[in-house]
Amino acid sequence: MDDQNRTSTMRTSILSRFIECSTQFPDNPAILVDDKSYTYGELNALRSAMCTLLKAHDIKKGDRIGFFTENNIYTYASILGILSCGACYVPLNYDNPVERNMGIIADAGIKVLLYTEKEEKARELSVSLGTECRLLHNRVTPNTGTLDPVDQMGGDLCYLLFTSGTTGKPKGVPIYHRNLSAFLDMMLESGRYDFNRNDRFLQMFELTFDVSVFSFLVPLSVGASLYPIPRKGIAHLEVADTLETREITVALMVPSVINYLKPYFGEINLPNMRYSLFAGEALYHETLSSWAKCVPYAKIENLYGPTEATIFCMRYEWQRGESPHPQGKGIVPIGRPMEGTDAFKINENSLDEEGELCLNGEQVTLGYWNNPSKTAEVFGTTKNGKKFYRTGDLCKIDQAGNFLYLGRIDNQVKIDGHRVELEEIEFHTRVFCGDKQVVAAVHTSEAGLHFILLFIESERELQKGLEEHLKKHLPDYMLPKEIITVSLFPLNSNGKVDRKALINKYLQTRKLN
Amino acid sequence: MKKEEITGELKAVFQKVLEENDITITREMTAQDIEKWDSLRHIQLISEVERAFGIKFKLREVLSMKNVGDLIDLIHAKQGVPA
Repeated sequence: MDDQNRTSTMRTSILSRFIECSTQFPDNPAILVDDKSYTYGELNALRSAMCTLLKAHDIKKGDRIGFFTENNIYTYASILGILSCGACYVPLNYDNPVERNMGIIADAGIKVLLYTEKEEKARELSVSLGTECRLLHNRVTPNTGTLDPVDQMGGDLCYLLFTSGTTGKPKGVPIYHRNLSAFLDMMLESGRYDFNRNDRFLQMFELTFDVSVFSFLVPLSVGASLYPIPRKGIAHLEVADTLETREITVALMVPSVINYLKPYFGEINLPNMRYSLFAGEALYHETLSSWAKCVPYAKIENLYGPTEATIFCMRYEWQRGESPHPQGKGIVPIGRPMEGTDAFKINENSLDEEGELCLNGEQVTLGYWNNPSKTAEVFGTTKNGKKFYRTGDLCKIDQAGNFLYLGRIDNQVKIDGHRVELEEIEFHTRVFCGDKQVVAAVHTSEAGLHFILLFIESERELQKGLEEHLKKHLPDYMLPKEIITVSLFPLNSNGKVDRKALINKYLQTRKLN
Repeated sequence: MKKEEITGELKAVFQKVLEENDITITREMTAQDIEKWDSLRHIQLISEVERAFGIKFKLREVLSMKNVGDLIDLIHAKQGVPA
């Protein structure tokens, strides 16, 4: 980390924006969660109480604090409370396998783990970990006096998220306050968006997923209200219900949601929607064109950005009635870099002009958490001394200067917006199967729904025990929908396993659509 | 079709889509009770049910279903057979 970043003060912090809203209009609704509405004043009092609790447990600037993503008022108050005492928040999905969460707690060096109702799950983790990580109940009593947050410097850690890693272990992406501040400045000060306190934001994301930061911190920065969907139930149906009954005006969604809702487009009419935004995976032109009729007055945008570059940093404003991009293969372009970000491509193949998309700017983090080798692999420096991140996304630039997403240079895929390294699934499969050849692949159905298929070269069926094994090591979204044993893998002319042939052969024998 | 018959037919649909042979259908059952029952399987379940019973659900109807019992009642009502 360079000294300049560590000492630079911040122009605007998320907390100062939130506290200003709480002071200006304490009685305005901030969040509706668990069927109960909380005002800015109430949320601020809970934030303050959370901060007091953490300080009483000696939590200081730079400490990493974990919390279970339970999706209640205390979960959101915890995030604000953690940031208020200058600490860094690390979300943990309590549904993840114990081993995975233990790995994250150890790697992040989490001092305190906060929970509301999932005490048993928290105990399970703390017993396995010994006494280093303390458990704290986050059901605090609102604090009447407001406690001012600790001053934050640009180089202070803000949050630490873990994404799928190729070596079988999730990798940590630390985001610093200067990164988040740059994101908020771009969203709120650039004049592109006119979010205001009458807006109602959808919050459909699990808090381990970085786009959630947009869906809860942007509304809380402008005095708007947010509507997290319940974690129980079928996600896309909860979204459809919330959009309509809460008259949502700003909705950031993963494209999978509209793929799932497609059969019902004729019944969906959302005249209140002002911004219908998409991020997290490839957005298909055809589905979007049909969706546009459900949101007749909304601006529609495709947003792009990896966790390493803080939420999103490129945008494409989609126009009603526009034709599919001639070079886009049916996918909506990812557009151009937003203010403060520079995008370019490297390792270009001069024939087809495809190259790897790289990002530079204030939103880009400095490198992975405790992982110098991975950092050296994907973070580089330009001739002018600018640091940049190699996204692993293959792109092309059209004549108008818009970037087109063409796929991956590696085996990373997106499942409902979650990053999945297929090697991570293969790694855990190999641990179970020994020296067998294994291939994890993704199949996209005609309806645009993705699923993971796992192939094992074996004469004998291994499904049952393997399913159990994978469940112990991988989060739900990474579990294969089907495990297929094949006696002999097809090879391509280079003698490598022919993934395409493998999938095609399987699809011929079974109807998966 | 009587509700018992609907339940029987529903069991076959659930077995097929969720790839579980030993499923017992109860009225109280929800997606929370079956691990494999996620967004993707839900879409498949609904379209299989529509095909099997020759009916079409509205979004509102899908949203209002709280458990399998509601699904059975809805199929029953959609078939226009008096209870």
